[in-house]
Amino acid sequence: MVRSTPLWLMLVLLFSLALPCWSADSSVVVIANKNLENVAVNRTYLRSLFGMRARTWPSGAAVRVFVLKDNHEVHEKFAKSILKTFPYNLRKIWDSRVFSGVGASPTVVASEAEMYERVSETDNAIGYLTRGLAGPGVKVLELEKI
Amino acid sequence: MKMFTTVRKLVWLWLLSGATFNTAYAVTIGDVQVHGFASQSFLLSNKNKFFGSSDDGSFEFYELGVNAFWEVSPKLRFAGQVLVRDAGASDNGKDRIDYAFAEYVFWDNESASAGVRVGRVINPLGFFNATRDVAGTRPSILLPQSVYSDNNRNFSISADGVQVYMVKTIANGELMFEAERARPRTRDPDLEVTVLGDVRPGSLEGRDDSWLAKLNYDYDFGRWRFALTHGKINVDYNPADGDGLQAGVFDFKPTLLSVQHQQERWGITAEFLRRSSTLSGFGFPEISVDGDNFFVQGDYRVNDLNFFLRYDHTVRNNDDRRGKQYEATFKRPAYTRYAKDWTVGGRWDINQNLSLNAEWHMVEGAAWLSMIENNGIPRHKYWNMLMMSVSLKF
Repeated sequence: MVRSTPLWLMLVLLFSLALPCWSADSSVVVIANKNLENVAVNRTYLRSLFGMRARTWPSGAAVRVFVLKDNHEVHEKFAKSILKTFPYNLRKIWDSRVFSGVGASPTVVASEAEMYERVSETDNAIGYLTRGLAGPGVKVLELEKI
Repeated sequence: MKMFTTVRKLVWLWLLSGATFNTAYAVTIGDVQVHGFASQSFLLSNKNKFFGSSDDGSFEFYELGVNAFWEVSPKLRFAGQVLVRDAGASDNGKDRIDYAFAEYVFWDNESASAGVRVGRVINPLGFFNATRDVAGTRPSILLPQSVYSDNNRNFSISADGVQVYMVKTIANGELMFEAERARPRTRDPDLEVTVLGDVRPGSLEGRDDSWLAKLNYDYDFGRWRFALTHGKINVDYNPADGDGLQAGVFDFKPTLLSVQHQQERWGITAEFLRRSSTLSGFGFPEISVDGDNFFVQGDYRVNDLNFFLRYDHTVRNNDDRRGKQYEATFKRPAYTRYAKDWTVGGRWDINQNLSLNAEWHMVEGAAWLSMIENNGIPRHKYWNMLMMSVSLKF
């Protein structure tokens, strides 16, 4: 007896196809200004850059770091999935540099739209965005597997 | 006195502005970044006094600071911070320079940095000394006094001289070494009392040949942190005319071991400090005293709330841990030679700039109380203290 495919099975199939795409688009990626030289980034390097320890690119130009607010969900995703840490730890690292005179804090932007705009306009800038929002104005720095 | 009230108004105004605006960012003017912080505390203690007339309830503890960081080029930077702080008799509300130095960067790349700083530099000392005045960076309103005594904060925070640093990423971690040769600051109201047991007519002057070094290892971006600090601080005593004391030297050797582990929700921090002090000259036989001090703190955080529990133990002299010999010799209470402080507290981060803190101290002993504040001798062995504060940083 031939039965038509049940609706629930079709839905499951549909979502299992859609899910990887959906999660890829909402995942967070590291972005940089388009004019930035090609640099290979792994997690250790990103931690040095976003931790405001490494202040110059290999070319010698000063790094410009952009971040969202501490409690922004994309910031939290970035901290956890890319840097493998927590927003409170980043805040602690920045504060300890800023208030002991050995470093600047990253520039805080209010939204992902502003992040896109500022990184695309600023030479030597680095930031992060939801993958689906990383348009042609910026380049995506793919994380090297360590 | 008038100046103090003006400053206090400013602190309050600033704190209110922090509550009004959702977030405040650093002020950037060209290549100069400006940051600031302020906090106002309320203290209520039974019996002994701390940071003012806390036995009647006191608002005398406030901090207000502004700093600037100027990146002239990737090789050259300048940094400075001005602080206004009042803490009862142990601080006077005057403005002072916490640090002001020029930094030259030897190299700065993907895996390493190194440079030299010249001027008034921050003493590399444990986890919390460098930003000790910024309430938002402290683990509590009051730093664990066993290791970070507030009676000698100017002496502790910075010194005038030269400092070198090196940072290197190693495996999944970062190793940092800092070392300095610098003249210590000696203008703390309580320093003479701490060193010599009393306010003396002469003066204490820091010596240029003092040094301090710290090795720090951060594993996995601070999931584990380890630090070892050691140094030798030399201070001369210059007697005044008709002084009962002759010229002498106070040698202070701190050895500090620090460990921290952090998870998303909880963390644990412990530091151990051995203070080795020698008094030579002064017209009496040389005295050497070692004191072992430590604290252990556990933290738990849920969203914007952070709770902690801490045990903090101060010992002035390992050979007389309970102060019995001291009491017999000097006829002063034994409990002024040690302190055991259990503290429980919490912090609410209203936004990334503004926080409310509260904590409760249950203390036996008075070793870290200001003698000046308590008219020479704190009267009570057992005492409690409530501290509440509102603090802002941008």
